[in-house]
Order: sequence, then C-alpha cells, then structure tokens
Amino acid sequence: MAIDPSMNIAKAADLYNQAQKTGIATNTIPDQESQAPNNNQFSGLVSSYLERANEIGKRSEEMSIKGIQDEANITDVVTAVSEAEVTLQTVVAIRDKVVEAYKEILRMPI
Amino acid sequence: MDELLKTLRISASGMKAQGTRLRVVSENIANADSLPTQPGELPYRRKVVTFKNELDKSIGVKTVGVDRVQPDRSDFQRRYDPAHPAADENGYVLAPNVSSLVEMMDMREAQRSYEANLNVIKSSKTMLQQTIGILR
Repeated sequence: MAIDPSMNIAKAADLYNQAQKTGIATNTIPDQESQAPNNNQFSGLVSSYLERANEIGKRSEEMSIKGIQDEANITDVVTAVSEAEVTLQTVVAIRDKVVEAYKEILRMPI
Repeated sequence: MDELLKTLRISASGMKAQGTRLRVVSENIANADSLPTQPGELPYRRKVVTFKNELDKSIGVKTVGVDRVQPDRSDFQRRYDPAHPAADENGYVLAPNVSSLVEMMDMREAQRSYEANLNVIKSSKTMLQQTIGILR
C-alpha cells in the first residue's frame, strides 16, 4: 500500500502536464491506443487507486465482521476501517481535482 | 506505505498491549480475595505483564507487544482469620500478594498510555485528512 498523499498530488500534476502534451489541450483527437486504459493516464490512475481502495475496503469489512463475531480486537477493526476511510478520501479527492481540471480545459474558449 | 498510516498501526499495537495490561490488572483486582480453600494450599498469585519490542515485518517498523504474563514472586500476605477453613493452627490464612493501591496505579498507567496512543492516532488521522483537504 503506497498511499502518500503528497506523492499523489505530484502524480496528478504530472498527469495533467502529460494530458496537455498528448493532445487534449491542443484539441486533437486522441488515437485509439491512448484511449485504452494505461497506467500513465488518468483513467489508469483512478482505476488503480480505486482497486486499492476497494481492496482495503474489503479488508476493513472482513475485520468488522470478525469484530462482530468476537474474533478480532476492536483496535484492529478501528485501524482497518480508518485506513480504508483515508484511502477512499484520497481517491475521491484526486478524482474530484482531476475532473475539475478537465472541466476547466473544456471551458477554454477556442 | 505512508508513514502516517504506519503510525496508526504502531499506536494500535500500543493500545492492544495496554488492553492486555488492563486485563491482567482486572484479574488481579478480581482475585484479591481469592483465598485458599484448605490449609496448605496457596492463594491467588498476582500476575504482572511485560512488554517487548516487536518488528512488524509487513511495514518494517517496531511495534510493541506483550512479552508474557508472569506470576509475581513476592510473598503472600497473612491474615488472622481463625474461622476460615484454610486457617493454619495459629489462625492465619495466606492471602494473595495483591495490593489494591498498586493495582489502581497500574490501571491508571495503562489508561494514560492508552489515551496517549489514542491521541497519536487521532492526530495522525487529522494530519492525513488535512493533507487530502488541500486538494479540495
């Protein structure tokens, strides 16, 4: 799990720059290859982070169930749920920010 | 893994360890009057918990864990109670080596340490959320 919020911000900024270079900002139609989910692209970033958030969310759910069944320590449950919460918040914040940036580009007068 | 998320895990291990300590304290307090039932038998012996440093290999940090729960080897108390079934010929009964004052102090220590770990968790979580908050 590599959730370093400051790294994510740097990544988002890089992606934004890349998007500008690879045609979205210059208003060319991207070819099929760049539309495919790629780890260097925004969709790849969001899906990989969502996957991770999903994974951690599942773990937190498992821990919650164990906690209810009296098998796990409450502290473990709380830690797992907090981790899931923070990860999901990171994903949502990055998504919102990048979507906002795309909208800003769309609003640009040509 | 993010350092602040590691902090969550480390503090959680501290809270778990203090939880165990409080459990042992509660055993001691609950058994403070567990006297022997026959002459020659021994009463409840106080337990003490020791902690140790543990390496959490999955995240590569040192966490705290309970080493073991050991019996306290100090002497038993002697109470004068000739009516008790376990009293010896002089009327004395061996009583557990539990001192409620010591147990209370131990309990408070466990409580304070638990609170300290809890505060670390709270503050690291706030720091994480504030960092994410920059994006909003």
